[in-house]
Amino acid sequence: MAVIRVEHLTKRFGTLVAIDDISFEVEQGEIFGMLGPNGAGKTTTLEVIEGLQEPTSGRTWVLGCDSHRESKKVKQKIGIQLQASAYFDFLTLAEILDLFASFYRTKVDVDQLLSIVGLLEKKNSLVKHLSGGQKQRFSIVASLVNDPEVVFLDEPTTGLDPQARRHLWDFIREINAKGKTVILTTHYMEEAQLLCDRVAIIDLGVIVALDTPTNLVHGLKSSYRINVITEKPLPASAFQAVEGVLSVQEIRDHAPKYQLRVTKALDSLPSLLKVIEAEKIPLEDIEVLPANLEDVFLELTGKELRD
Amino acid sequence: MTYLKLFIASLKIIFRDRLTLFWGLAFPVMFIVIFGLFNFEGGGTARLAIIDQAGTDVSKQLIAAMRQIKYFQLHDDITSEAAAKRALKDGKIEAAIIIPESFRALGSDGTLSETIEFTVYYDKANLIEYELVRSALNQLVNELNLKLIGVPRLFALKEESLEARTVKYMDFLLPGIMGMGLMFNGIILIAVDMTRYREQRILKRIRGTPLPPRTFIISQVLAYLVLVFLQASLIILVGTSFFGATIHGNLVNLYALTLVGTLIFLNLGFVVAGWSRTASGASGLAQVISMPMLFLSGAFFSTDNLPTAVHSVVQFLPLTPLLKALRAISINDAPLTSLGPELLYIGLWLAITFFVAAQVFKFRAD
Repeated sequence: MAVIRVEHLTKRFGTLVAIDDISFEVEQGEIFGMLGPNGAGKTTTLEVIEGLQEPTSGRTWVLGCDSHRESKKVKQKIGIQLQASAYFDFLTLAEILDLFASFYRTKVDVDQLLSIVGLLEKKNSLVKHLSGGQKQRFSIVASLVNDPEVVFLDEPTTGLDPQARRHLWDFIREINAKGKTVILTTHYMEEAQLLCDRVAIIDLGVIVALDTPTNLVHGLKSSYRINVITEKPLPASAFQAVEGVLSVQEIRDHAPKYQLRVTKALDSLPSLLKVIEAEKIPLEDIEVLPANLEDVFLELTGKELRD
Repeated sequence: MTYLKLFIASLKIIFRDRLTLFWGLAFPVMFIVIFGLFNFEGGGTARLAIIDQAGTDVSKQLIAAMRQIKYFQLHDDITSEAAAKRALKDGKIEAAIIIPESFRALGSDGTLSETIEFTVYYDKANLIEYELVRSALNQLVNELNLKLIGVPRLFALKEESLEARTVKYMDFLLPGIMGMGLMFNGIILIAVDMTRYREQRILKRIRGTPLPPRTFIISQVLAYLVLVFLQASLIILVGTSFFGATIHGNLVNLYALTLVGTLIFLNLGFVVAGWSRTASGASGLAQVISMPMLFLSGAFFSTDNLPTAVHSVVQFLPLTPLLKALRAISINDAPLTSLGPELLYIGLWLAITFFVAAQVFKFRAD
């Protein structure tokens, strides 16, 4: 059953087209990711589905209710975490959760909610005294006060260090394991790959690909990346002779480094070694990596997915 | 339930924010203390010379009556117009009043054949003190006129009423400070709060819940009314217990008017929040609106000295009728029924500002 349905959604701000006629569905119980660079239209898409922004054209449904015509019903059933959302500076965590629960006319077990995200001992602290990771965790847990069926997370891990990010992933999986459908946006390839059941890759307001991370990567022509580090620089064009090479990129680093995208690593490696031998330049190191969503984005849009 | 929770939360937010508390409670009290310490009443008295050119029984009684006003300190050693002008120049007195020879036309039975003009000399450098002398004199002259028309035995009566109605500057200032406080609370604090909530995406976060925005706004307004109530009480308490101010009128009416007036400025605050993108922008715009109003509406000084054109315009500022009504109640114990025009203006402003605020203020930023 589709929990979220988006049909021919378009959103324009003046002449700027933020979302350009996109359609997709999110299934019950999945973690659905929207991956794309800043300004791709991810946040706008989420906010239209949540009913916070009016679409220019097209319609969106959540749990069978129109996001705009039945927005009250929708808001009752969803939990929202906004990008870089702040809560009242002068209320404690417990007070904020209690207050937001009253907006839904429900009561919450504040202690139990806070302990899920390890913030129980911060119960009586003000939001402004929390660290970045604690703030993010709190803003997610605050989206759960109404025990929502669908949780919207907008860039939930932006600005966090890798450890805090992994910690948050565990927490999002935990929410998901309780049967809640999660839809999130991110510009971290790794996050989409490791956390999401399905990923929509978005660029310039258009969905360029939508599938499971594994299928997306397997669909690539370049399934592997080979990083070659040499002692002295050599012309990048020399690598074009390597068998099965799709692209060569010179990476500016301390040592000369070249990134090759290839279809099959096993076919390309012997010919790569021959090329280097012919150039008579000592090889410093060689890395073979499987392709990831970053490569998918590059291949589909011709751009790097970086902030 | 939701209302109560939101109202309590809004109160907590207000009372935990030291900046809000400073502007809401400490700032107006500071004004009272400063004005009180400056002591614009020159040690509680204005030095006067009265030159009696008439020398009748009635003029002597008049002088005796003025002597009863504690606020006036009469210099009997100055007896001629020339000496009075000299003393005024040397700063020995604040004003000199000439009772003209024509005063003789006023018989001891209270009959009068022509208008009598008192001449008042004053030092321009001492405008504030003169202002007080003048208002006292005006009152005196008015009393004289009234009593002369109606009651024959006027002087015995007049002395009492004059004594009772001596208006101290603090009495005049107190309602002014109350007006200032409620205006700042209304415009600046709520505009900054709302803009900050929008900047911090708190308003958007609330829009993502089933809570009607109206509920949120009403709770905020109620919390601010509590703040203004406390503020007014603090101003009255400090003014009356430490600086000798007196509230002559009905306290319930005074508070009611204060709260109704606050609503006008809360509306204006929402208008400012609707026009501003950032909290600092809102604070600037709110000050641009409230600062000139503070002085033009006469919170600290009478606006009678403004040029006529300006004076007739400032009559229509929202703070002006409010201050007039507050003063009428506080100083003259005026009943609400006598404040028709002021209450009408206040009501009009309330309706206009509410309408504009409803049009201009938006939860969303785009």
